[in-house]
Amino acid sequence: MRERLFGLRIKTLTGRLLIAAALWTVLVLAVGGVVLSVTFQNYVENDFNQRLTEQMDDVLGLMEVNTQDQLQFRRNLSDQRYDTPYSGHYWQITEKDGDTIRSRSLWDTELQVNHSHTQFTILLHDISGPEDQMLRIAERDVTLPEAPERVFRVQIASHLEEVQSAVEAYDQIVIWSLILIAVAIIIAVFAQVRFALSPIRRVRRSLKDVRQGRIPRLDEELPDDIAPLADEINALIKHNEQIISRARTHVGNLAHALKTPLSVLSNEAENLKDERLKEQITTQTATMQSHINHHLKRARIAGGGAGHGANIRTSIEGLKSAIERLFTEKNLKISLDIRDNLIFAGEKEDLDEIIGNLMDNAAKWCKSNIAVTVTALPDAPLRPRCEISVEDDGKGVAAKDFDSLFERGMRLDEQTPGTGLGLNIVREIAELSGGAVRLDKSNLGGLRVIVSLPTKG
Amino acid sequence: MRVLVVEDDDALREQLVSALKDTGYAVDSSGDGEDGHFLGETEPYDAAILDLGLPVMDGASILKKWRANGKDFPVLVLTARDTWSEKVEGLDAGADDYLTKPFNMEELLARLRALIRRSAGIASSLITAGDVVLDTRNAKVSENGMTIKLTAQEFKLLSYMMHHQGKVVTRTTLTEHIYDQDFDRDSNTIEVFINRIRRKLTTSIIHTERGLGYRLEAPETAQ
Repeated sequence: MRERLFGLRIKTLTGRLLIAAALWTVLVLAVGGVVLSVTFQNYVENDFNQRLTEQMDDVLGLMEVNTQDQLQFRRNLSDQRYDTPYSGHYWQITEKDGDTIRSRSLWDTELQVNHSHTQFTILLHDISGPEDQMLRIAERDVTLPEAPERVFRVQIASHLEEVQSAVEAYDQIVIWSLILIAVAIIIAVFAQVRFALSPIRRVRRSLKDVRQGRIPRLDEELPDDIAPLADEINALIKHNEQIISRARTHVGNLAHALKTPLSVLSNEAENLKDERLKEQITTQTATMQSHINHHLKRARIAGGGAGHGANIRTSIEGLKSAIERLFTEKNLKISLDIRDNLIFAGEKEDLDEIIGNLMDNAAKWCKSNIAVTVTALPDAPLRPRCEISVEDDGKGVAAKDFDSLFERGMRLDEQTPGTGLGLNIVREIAELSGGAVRLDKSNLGGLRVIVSLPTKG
Repeated sequence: MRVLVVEDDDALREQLVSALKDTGYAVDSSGDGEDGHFLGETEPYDAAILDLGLPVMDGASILKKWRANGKDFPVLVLTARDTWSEKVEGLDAGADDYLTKPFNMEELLARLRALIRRSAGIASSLITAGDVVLDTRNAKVSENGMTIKLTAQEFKLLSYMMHHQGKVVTRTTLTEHIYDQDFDRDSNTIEVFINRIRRKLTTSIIHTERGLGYRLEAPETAQ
């Protein structure tokens, strides 16, 4: 189930959580940044305006009309910036229908004056000044007590660059801080998501282990919100096992049910007078039997997977006493050399089938000695394996005939047991379990069959 | 020799019974586990052929119960289940041999003979007592190479005694081992058979132990 976000396909939960987190983080931080910037700008401008107003008060306090009816300052304005040309700080006093005096900084320019109406409160507005400076100007009209009929327009102007650069510098800091915060938040969210989703990764790893037969069920110790998921998966695994086992049971029952009537038929055929018919029935029942055996064994082979493991020593010891009993007359000497206590990674039935067939062959062909050796292979600690070798002191097989031993033998003749060695089924089971079979000459004189099988570490 | 056959398939059971009877065994048979188990517990058999998949009580349980109660007659398990795991299980339960279906009747008879010989402690398939030789493979008795013609009952009786040489065998034991349970038993007939066998043989190997029964022994070991 993949959903789209703005037409974008997000494939992972981590990705979806991260994208969502990044979206709201950027949105919140952007709004926060705008609010901070606007607030700061307001503050700086208020401060700027406040200073303009204060300067206006200074100028007003120093203005007087002298005895020659001329406007003058009681003393010079202390601020040097009014004397530097185009410094960005200016003042200008214009009498309505009269003279203009202005700060030296204005040099050869004049601030525009609009005398159309008289106003005694401070008015702030922005104009373009000398050298294209953006100026904020505070202006008001004033009358002096010594000349109440004369109206002077007082203008104080300051370059807005101060405000702009302060705001710009501040915005830089805000933007970089917010980017840093955003990155930190996204990293934190990523870590948080990884941490929160780690049980899901654990479930995935466990499922892999289940599939490869390392563990039978998922770990139940999971957070409460995904424990039910694991429970369901476990129930599904169990259900699957039941289906497989039921299917196997059915195949087994069918095959076994056919075997008894086959016995009756072939035994009945033995008593027939008609040789041709007898031959026909004997051949056909033998073919049927070999088909049944073949498919029954195929159905039985678990082929690795969800096996619970089988103790190799237990299997071999059980088979040893079974073989000894089946070959009582031969007085077998079966020596076991099982150095390590190893667990086959698969089903007990498969292991029994492999070793049983090999020991049965050895018992058939040996003089009296059989040796079974089990050793762990140290070469790959991550994929542990062992080697089981079964050898006998019989006549053995020439190396050039080794390949033919694996061909599927048809037991047409029941009198001489084992025209086929059953090695084909041994190889089939071993390979499906992830192992292999090879043949060699035994030091005892006969055949040595070596099976390598996966074990549980 | 008296053999028990426990097999639930009627056709196969009939085949087994008739093949065994033809070979000179007294045969009892049963088609279900409980009845088969009961027969094994109460009758003295020389061997049993036991199917594992039986109704009411399965073969492995029967076998375990017999062994737990000290029944030590050899048991040949006859089953369609042929995996090694199942063989190990069956042999562990106390089976002496294991034959999977479909099987060859000759092979079954050969294995059964071997089981009975082994349980009597006899190594060869030819059992001898002096000049008398019983070939278990073809159920023939000969003396000095001459075939002795015996009736079915005479053969059963002689075969049992040959398998238990040197031991005193009571008349009851003989009756139990040469007749199946359906036979109308009359212990007098045992004496009739013994006398007929004695007349057919030149060497005297069957001795009467007064008040006890009979003992089969070769002349040279009896000296």
